Amino acid sequence: MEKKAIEAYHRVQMTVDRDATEAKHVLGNLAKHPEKTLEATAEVAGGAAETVAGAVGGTLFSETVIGTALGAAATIDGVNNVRSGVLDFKSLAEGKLEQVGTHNSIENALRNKFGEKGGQIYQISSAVLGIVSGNGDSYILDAISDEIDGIKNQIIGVGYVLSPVGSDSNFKVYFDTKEFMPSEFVKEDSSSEGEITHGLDEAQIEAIKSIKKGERPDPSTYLSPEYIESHLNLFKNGVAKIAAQDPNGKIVGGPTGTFVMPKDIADKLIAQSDGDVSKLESLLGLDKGTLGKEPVRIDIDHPDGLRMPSGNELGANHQWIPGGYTSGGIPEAVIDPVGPDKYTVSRIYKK
Amino acid sequence: MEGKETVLFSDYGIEIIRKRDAIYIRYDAGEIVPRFVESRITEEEFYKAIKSPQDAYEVILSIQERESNP
Repeated sequence: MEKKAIEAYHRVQMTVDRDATEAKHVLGNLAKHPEKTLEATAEVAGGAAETVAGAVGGTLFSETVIGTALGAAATIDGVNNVRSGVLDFKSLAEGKLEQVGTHNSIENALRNKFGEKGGQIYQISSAVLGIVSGNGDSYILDAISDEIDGIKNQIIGVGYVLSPVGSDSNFKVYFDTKEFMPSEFVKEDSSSEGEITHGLDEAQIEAIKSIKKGERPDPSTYLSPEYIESHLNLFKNGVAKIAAQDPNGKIVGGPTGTFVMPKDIADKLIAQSDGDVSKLESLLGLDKGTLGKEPVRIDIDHPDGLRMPSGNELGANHQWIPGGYTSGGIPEAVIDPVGPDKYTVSRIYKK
Repeated sequence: MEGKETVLFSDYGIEIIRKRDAIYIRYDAGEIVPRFVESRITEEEFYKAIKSPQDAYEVILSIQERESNP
């Protein structure tokens, strides 16, 4: 697999030179329509690396965040020959947005490979990508040129999106990391190939998890300041929790804090659930019925003590993973317990 | 029926209650989504838990360890 991935990477690079002009054209359309990029990315995962898709992937690879996803996706399958997935990029290039995702969508590809979990990965990754793509107000290229914080956040998001694909199926994604991967995802001992993780390699993750809860190290001892800053930046617009019941004026969180997700992610997940509690439960990786019939969201606009989870939290269970993401892939952080004067509660689905 | 319960203590995210002749601590053991659990504690643990958030944390931690390795 590793050899195939490296070969695929080199093919992408070669294609960049050959088809750079075409790639730039497609890149423009991708930037204008970021919400379609994820779907297109999937098609590369389906196997295309040469021609237009490869050129786009290669070009974006070195220039943009999305390129990281494209490049990673291109390597996932070892990359065979041109397949129908390339059509999505052609559709993008031609401005036929309605056709993107109709050829061979990422959701199907992921579902085929990973079953229901694949579908969840798609749903959550769409939400994560949406942080930057927003409602069309902030395009990716604008963001890049302005060097806004969101881009770095999205790097984390994209890295995350791909990471579970690797870990859930023993299917690792390899890169020539030195040239284009953000430092957060490069192993300290990486030579020419590194693997995407939550800033850590598997051995580090297992080593931290194996330490007894209550004695695990502070994340600053194993994550770079840049990674931590980028991750916590995801929460700058406020944080949220989703619950089955209104806390009714009680303190939210345990004695030493509580897990939260970015408010933006909560918005996206709720929107994607389309009024269906069981779908929201699925997106959150919860058992059916966990959220009851009338779930609420608890919003905290100005949390105190925002920090990376250490795994020592009372809510950290055996599924906890160091690096700031739930096992289901949702960005998480920890804040101090929240008094009733600092949170607002609202029903998620209005009657 | 659980029977009548009396709240003995409520602060920093925990509740300690008495039900019949036993004392229980109720706390959020969830991650992003709250999941409240109730565990029986001793009188000694009760007095420790009401001292401070850190003491309560240590009590709950020991309960979690106890319950995961019965």
